[in-house]
Amino acid sequence: MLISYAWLRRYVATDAPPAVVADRLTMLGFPVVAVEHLASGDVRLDVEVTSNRPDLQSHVGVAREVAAALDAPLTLPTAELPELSADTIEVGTTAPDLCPWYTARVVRGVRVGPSPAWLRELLEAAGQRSVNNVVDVTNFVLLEYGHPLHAFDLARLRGPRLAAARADGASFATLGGARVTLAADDCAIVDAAGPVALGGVMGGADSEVSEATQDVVLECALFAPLAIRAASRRHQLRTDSSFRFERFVDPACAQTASDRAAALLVEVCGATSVGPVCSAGPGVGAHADEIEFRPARVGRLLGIDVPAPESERILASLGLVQLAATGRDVSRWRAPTWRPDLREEIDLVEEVARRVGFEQVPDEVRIAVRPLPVDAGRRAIARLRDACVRAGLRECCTAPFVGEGAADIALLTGERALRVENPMRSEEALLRRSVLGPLLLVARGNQDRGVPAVRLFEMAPVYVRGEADDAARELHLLGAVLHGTYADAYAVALRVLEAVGLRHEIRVEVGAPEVLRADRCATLLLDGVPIGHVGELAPRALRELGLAAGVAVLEVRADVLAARARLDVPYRPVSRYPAVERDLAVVVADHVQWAEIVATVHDAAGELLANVRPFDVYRGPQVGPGRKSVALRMELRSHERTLTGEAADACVRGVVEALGDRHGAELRA
Amino acid sequence: MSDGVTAAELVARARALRDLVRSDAAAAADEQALAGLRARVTGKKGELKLLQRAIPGLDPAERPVAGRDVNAIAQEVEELLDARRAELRSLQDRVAPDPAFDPTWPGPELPEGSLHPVSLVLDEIRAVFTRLGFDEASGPELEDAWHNFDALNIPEHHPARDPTDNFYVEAGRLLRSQTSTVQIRVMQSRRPPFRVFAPGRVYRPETVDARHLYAFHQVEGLMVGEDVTFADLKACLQCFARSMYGADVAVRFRPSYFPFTEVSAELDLRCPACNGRATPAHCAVCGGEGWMEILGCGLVHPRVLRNVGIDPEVHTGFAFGMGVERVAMRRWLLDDIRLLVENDVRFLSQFR
Repeated sequence: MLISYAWLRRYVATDAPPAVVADRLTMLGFPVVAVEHLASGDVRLDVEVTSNRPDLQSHVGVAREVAAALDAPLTLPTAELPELSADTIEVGTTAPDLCPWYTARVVRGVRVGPSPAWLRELLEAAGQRSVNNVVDVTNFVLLEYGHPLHAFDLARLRGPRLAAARADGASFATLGGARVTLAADDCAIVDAAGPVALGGVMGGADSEVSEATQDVVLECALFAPLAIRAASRRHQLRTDSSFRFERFVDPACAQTASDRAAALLVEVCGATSVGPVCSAGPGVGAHADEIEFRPARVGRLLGIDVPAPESERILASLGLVQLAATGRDVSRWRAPTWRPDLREEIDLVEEVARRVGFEQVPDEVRIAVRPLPVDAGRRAIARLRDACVRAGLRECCTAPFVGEGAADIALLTGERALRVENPMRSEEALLRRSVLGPLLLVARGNQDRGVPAVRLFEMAPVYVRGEADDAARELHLLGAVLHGTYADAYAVALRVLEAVGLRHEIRVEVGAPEVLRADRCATLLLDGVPIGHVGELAPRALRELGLAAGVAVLEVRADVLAARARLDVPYRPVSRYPAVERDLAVVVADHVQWAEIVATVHDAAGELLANVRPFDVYRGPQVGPGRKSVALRMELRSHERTLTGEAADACVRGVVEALGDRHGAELRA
Repeated sequence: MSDGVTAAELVARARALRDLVRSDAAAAADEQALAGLRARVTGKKGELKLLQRAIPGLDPAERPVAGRDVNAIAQEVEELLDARRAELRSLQDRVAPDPAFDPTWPGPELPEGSLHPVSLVLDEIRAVFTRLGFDEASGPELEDAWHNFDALNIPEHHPARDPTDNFYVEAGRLLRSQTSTVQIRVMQSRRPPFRVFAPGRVYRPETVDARHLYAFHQVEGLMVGEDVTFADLKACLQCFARSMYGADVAVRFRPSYFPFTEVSAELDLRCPACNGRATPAHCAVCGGEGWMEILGCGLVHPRVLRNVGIDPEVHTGFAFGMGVERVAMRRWLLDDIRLLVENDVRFLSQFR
């Protein structure tokens, strides 16, 4: 809200300079974000008004607040009307749900022309362009009291009646010149021939006040906020009028606003006669809640004592009226009609607190600390994240939306994607079912910027449609995308699983959904349930996402891993004796997994096995088709003694035998 | 060797060997060469050892003298070798500077991962509130209208519920527009007193520009107990501001409005870069305003407490919420918030 300092001073008797007023408003909760010194000598304050205070969308409203805060006298404008004429106009409202109160009065003999300097300057200081004196008067009252008004040219109305009504399908030209076709829930103002205004939003060009205008019909009505909001949205018309009607217009102020405008039409436009307000409709009850207030509550909530008389003085200064008390330590108050936000005790406590000032509340208090133990799941999530960083991946932060097509990847989720009802773009119409979709788009973006070799990860929720109609599920996944092969991604998977102590609980099976290459993909299972996938991106996915070849991915259920994590595993004692290395090459069938070989070596070597790693794999004529030679290096050591060569050899013989028994392995010559 | 070797010859050979060792040792360029020489001469099958082994075969009359002489020579050889080793070691210890050596030549690229700047900031905030005795809490991003609006005292026709301000999803859900939803979930599941903070992501369909994202992070906080007051709120958040921004940071609490708190406030921080001077037309941190809004807070609205079955006459509390991206922007002087979601590796790699 743009506030003219000169205008404000018409109501508040204060010498406080603009900067002081601005600071005061800011610390009352209405930040003044700009103070502008105008050529006219006036000062324009740009006041941010919170949505609970529609009364401050006017100079009178701001004046009330400033006067109370500065303890300065407040003088509101008066409307001195000549004796009212007998000129009436028939009014009506056939849509009281949209317009519960419609009034109009006839004002004759105006001389339309430029406004006097004082009016022009005040309007311009408040950010309003001067149009002509009649229109300026209605705008002035809007900015003064916050009550929107409209002036029709009486001569251009068709017939002797104005009414608020539904006029579905009818159309009219607005002041702006655009043609508006009314909808069923629009509140039209109609004369005998049809719509002349979109009520509460904008007047019509055909009944606009012009230089030829002599007599005007001054409308002052109340409209239903939701109806105005809908109409304003529907027709993309946001006006000072619709802005206020959408929020709140004080019903008790309607007569005052109409009288004030009529008086100004006499004063500024030379009107010669003013008719009475002609009204229709059930009306709107003014807001006047009675509120019980315990002054002691202020101290209980703020942590400082505010004496009851001080609280009461503050409330009275804001226009609240004290009523007869109903009990000890409780006072009763009626809120002023312009403060719809004051409804219950806490609202009054806040008024007192605002005025006392938050700086009065101490900030050195003792607070007992009783924290819960750190949640194991959170520790596990932190470890998963650290494992990714240690594996050389960069954390990303992507939005959870994808479009239909290649980015809508689903690996761990069979359910269908949830649709966003109001997406920002069609490429964001679905909620992601995998973090890999957005991550792959990030990889693509980096590739386009000349950084093709990326290693990325993100831990984030994904969402899927549940089985029941209204069900939706949220899963937490860890996804990684990296330039490389299956083995590169699998190495990351092992790091991640080790970080939560689950490496040995996981079984790896060949195969995964078809977004991954059928020959380079695997599913990770925990207790037989899939909890992750590793693989190289399939050619089709690469093509559709515009990625160069050589992209490997990993996705695991971070939530499941966190729930099952084994974080505090006892340490394994370190042997004081040296280890002995033994190399071994065995020929096995192609399908035998390294993990199976390790398990067998582990079982056969028992406690002596410190480590086993493959160092070569060979397929070719020397071993025959369907077979491979795996060379492995074992590190053997005992906790009791230095291992002799004979003992190590015996251990290796046992391993070879076990590999032969379980996997048909033959020792390679 | 015992076949006919005289004592004199034996001693002469030993002397010759000693002389040879003397010149060879002097010629040895390093310890390794010297060790090889030592092995050839005094090792198990070394030449000197062979001579010594021939002593018992000498004429018994000459044996003592020859034995003594050869052993003395052997002793001399050992000393000679030791002396040369010491000499070589001291030479090695005195390495001359190498004018061609470039100490700035980079080593191999080390594989490097990194956390997202938002994570770095969240970790800091997490550490502060953990220190203040707040437990971490979380809630779903996919919410229902009750948790996101009704319970938070946002009435049925409030504009905050408009589709233009929320991502509505089929199945009657929406992506939460604020982490305050977690307040409700915590208050439903725990009995007072408690103190929690909840980092999380929220979603609002705003047009993306240099200052706005439609998905961003918040940290929500909540403390409820029997006598929690606005003074407790000020104390906790003052501690937070000091921990994050320095012990001598200036803050102010300014009245504000939120549907789910009353008495409501905004916490402003005196700009640490320009120290809030009145005329810093171009402060990169605060934009010249002198103060920066860092969080919204307030006493939990009694209606919110009643909505979750907590009697506001018995328990009171305070809540706060802050944007995380803004903290990151101020910390690293980011001039465009979109940097935080573009995930450009050249940007991400700057956060180590």
